[in-house]
Amino acid sequence: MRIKNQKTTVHEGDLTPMIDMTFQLIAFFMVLINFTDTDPDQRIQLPSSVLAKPPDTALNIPITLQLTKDGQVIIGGEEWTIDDVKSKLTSEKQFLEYQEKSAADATVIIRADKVAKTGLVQKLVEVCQEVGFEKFALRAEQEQL
Amino acid sequence: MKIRNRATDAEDTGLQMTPMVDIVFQLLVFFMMSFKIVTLEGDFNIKMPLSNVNQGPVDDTILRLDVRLTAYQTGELSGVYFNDHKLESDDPFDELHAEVLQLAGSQGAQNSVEDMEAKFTCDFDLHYRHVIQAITAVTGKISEDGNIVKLIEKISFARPAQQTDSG
Repeated sequence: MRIKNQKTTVHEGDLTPMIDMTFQLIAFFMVLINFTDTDPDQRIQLPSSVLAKPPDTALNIPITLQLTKDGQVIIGGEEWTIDDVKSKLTSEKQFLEYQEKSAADATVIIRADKVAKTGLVQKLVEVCQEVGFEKFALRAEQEQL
Repeated sequence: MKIRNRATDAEDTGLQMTPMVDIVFQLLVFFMMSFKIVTLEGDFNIKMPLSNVNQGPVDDTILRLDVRLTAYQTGELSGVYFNDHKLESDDPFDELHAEVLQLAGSQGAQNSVEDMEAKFTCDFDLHYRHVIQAITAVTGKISEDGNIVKLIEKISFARPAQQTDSG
């Protein structure tokens, strides 16, 4: 007696190359992703300079101040006017002192918009100096040659 | 007669890939959404304690170079002055850079660039990008092999001048 094999075979594509590629993509994005606390504000367009190269070593105690072209100061996502920012900087200083560090050890990174008024940038620097900060880093975008 | 289908038993042991592929795609979408293309940024380091603002004791060993940047009311650059003389060329920052290079070369043995300080006086309304251009011109240059050659690293700012040129 002849018995017919009625089993239906399911033809599946070979998923291995696709999974390989997907893992490669995940690895790529995982390596390049950076979760930074000081998210660069999209409103600020930095001036560019050929000498603006990323530093080899990370700054010791960075405090980032972002200055918009309208004169608003952004610290950690909060907006301040230049006149009010002193209180925030003073609390930053007190926090450093609580950690047995001083304001002079910290570096204030200034990310100012390229069309911001220079006078406002200098005013911001002066406020920082009055609080006790001494080291400043003027941030610029790297210009491609 | 009972005939056993051996092929079916063998196929049941296959690994179930679907949940893993689902999770992998979820991860991929998450990382793709979180990915941001950012341009590289660099810093110009400036040390300015409060005493400098208040005109503290002057160090005679430092050669001070005055750079003055003036602006129209719109904030655009109207003039660049280096040690009180106006730079008249089409690209004043190139000329400023050449002046600093010349000075650094002529001072040579006596005053190295480490003993020089550039003091910037800028109009209040001047667009900040012009300050960065001026700082770039005095702090260094890119050599032919692509490396940065440092010039003046000491930079300070005078209080901004309020008046701007009309135009």
